[in-house]
Amino acid sequence: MKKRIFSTLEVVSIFVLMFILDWRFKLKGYTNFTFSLYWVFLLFYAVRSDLGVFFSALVTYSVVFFLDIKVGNLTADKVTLLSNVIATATSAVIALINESKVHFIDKLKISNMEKDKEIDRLKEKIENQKIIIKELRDRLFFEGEGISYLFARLRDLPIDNPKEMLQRFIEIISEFFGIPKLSIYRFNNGFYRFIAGKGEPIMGYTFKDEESIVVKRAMEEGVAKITDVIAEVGENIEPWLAVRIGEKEKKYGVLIVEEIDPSKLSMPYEKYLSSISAWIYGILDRLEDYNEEIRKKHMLPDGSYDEEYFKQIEEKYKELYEKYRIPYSMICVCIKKGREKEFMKFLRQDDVPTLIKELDEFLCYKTLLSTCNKQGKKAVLTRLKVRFGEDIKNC
Amino acid sequence: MAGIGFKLRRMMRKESIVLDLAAVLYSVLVTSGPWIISSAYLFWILSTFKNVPGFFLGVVTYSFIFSMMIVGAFSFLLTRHLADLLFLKKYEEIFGTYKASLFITFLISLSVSGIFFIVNNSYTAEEIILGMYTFLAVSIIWLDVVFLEVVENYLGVIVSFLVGFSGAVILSFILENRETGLLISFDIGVLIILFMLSLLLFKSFGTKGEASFEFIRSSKKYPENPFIGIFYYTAVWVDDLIAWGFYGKEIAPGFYFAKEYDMPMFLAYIFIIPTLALFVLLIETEFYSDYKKFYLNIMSNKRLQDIEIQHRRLRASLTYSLKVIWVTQLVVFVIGMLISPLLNVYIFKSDVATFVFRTGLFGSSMNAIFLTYLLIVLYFDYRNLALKATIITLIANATLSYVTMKTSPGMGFAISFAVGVVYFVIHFSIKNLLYLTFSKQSSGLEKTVVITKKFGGK
Repeated sequence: MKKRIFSTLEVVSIFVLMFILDWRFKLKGYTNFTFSLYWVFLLFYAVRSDLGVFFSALVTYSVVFFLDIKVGNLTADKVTLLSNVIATATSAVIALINESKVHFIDKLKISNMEKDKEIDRLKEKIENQKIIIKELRDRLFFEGEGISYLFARLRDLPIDNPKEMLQRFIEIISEFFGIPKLSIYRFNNGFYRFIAGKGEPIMGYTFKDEESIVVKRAMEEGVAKITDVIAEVGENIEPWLAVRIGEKEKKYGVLIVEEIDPSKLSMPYEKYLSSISAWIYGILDRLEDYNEEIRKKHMLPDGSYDEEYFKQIEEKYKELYEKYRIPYSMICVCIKKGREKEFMKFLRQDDVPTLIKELDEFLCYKTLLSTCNKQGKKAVLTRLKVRFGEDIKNC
Repeated sequence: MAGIGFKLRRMMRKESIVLDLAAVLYSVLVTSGPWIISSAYLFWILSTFKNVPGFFLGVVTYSFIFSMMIVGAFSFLLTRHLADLLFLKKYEEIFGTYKASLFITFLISLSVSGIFFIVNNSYTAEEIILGMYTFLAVSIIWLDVVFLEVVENYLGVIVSFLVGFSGAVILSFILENRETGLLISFDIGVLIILFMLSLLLFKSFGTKGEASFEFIRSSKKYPENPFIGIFYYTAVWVDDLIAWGFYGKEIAPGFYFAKEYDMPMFLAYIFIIPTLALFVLLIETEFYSDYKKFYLNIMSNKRLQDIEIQHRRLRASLTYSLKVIWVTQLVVFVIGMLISPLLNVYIFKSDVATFVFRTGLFGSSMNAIFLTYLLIVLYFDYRNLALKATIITLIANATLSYVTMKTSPGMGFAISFAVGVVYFVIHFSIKNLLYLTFSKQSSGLEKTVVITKKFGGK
């Protein structure tokens, strides 16, 4: 706009200046000269400027012409009038041709912009196609050699030790699907407790049912992704993907994918993880019964276990810690006689207590706390102190 | 039938100066063909025959002026309705609409001419019949032209006019000696035109269909359109009517003619032909394709990015078209002003007429630009803006012409159309077209009724 105003002022100034000189020195520019200097500028603006500026030039030129005739009291003869008609028409034709070319360039600019946007769109499409190709390639791999190879490896899981079996299972799945962080949680009474995993679990070792929408949805529908519930997600930490282990009526736990390349968050992964979870649940279900039988065999009337069983489990926990850094803790407390059953109830189902000695009115138990780190141990001891008060003491 | 735009684009694409000129000439014929042919006929009559009867001159000029006002009044409404019918592919309803509009035109023209001859009752029965027939026939011709231009049958219209007026020219030599000979020859020429136009209409739209007054009902949808037509055409002619009051001489009972006003004004109007031709050329080759693509993009739910680019393209086309029209009209105006002293010497031989020519030249230039804006504004359905602009121009022309007619004839016409143009320039913009188009869409919500019930009490 500023440029246009400046150009218009320039046009007006030039024609007015010429007119003043013409009038002052009585040159009679319009009538005396075969080729008027006014035309030079008119033609110049027709060639050089856009139609807007030419419009100003033509208006000024015409005003100056009629002013010149009036002020100079000149008689415009036929030749003068017609030569000015020709000059005006010629400059107009030039200006219009000039403008049509400018307009053509403007349209090409817009077309270029359109093409650039089209290129961006195609690039975006290429990226999407790449993802689809990768998915297809993965699918081909999984459905071909891949899945058979995976199951061949899963068949070698150590079924004598369920905890280690699950940990190995996680390791294999993580390596096979390229998932850097995933965990398995056991579900019990609205609580999830970590039992195996790769990497520090972002959901913590335990969390409540209502703390994760993805997990809640997965427990209902079998599988859920963060993208499925994105609108409902609040401030809680949510996993990328969760797959239920177990049936809708008999939930064992959940497989949680905590870290994954987002491009892998696709249908094939969901499907394969669901199938593998179903497969592992089949094994776990049977192992549960078997382990339950062994557990009951070693259980004493007070609810504790014999030393043999204790040592056997301790050995397994040690091994799990050394291999996979899955924490466990051991506490040794003496409970006042008569309250030992209450103590047994206080412990979790997979904690293993064993009687080590009797001290007057106290019974002393060594207890293995599964997947329990230092903080967990501290919390358990505090809770015991609160619950039993004077009726409990350290060994 | 391939549209005019297609033909013009094909010509322009070749980048040949001959074809470019042919395209311009074709546009001139399309926009002003009937007008040029009619005017050429009148000029020929005036220059060939020494004693042209005042009754002939009065009937012919009055028929042209008032028929244009009557048909023009509802041409805006009619054109819109026909465009809607074509868009909805309801071709079978077009002939019914034609029948209904023919009935209305016939009725109004008959009433107007009847009242005229009742008021001026000094004519013979033959003169009354010829006078009324001329008015009715010319009105129906303009109506036919409206219908045929909708289907872009411009060439057919031009050929009909050429054949009809050629017949009138030949017959005028044969019937020269009769008192009403010139008018009878003109009327036969008009009859030929009517016959040919009717054939073209039947060919284009068939002859089936009940008279459909739907286009009158559609004024509920576009209530501004008939008023835009009435106000615009009245604004164009109102200064002439005032001039007849000031300068007019009664050339026959009831017929007035202001030679010093009408002649220069008529000549001044010739100077808008290049602009009207360019308007058609630019609309058809530049603007319309971008306009159509823009709305097609919206209707086919294209991405916002695509619509925005098309909007940009439409704006570029519109700006370019308007710039070219402004400059062309300015050039034509300047040329007109430059040759006005020569016209004074060779044609007008009167300073008043030359003054009227100059003011008329400015006014008609402004009118050409005003009409350009008016049609573009209606393309975008800014009916309210169009209505306001025509009202302002009409009031300004009626008032200023009345005030300035004695001292500066034509000045009122010039200023009022300039005011109309300025009004459009200030208020018309398609910068916000996307928003306006979006906000005009129906929300899709169902109409609900609020029921208030009062229980108990009085």
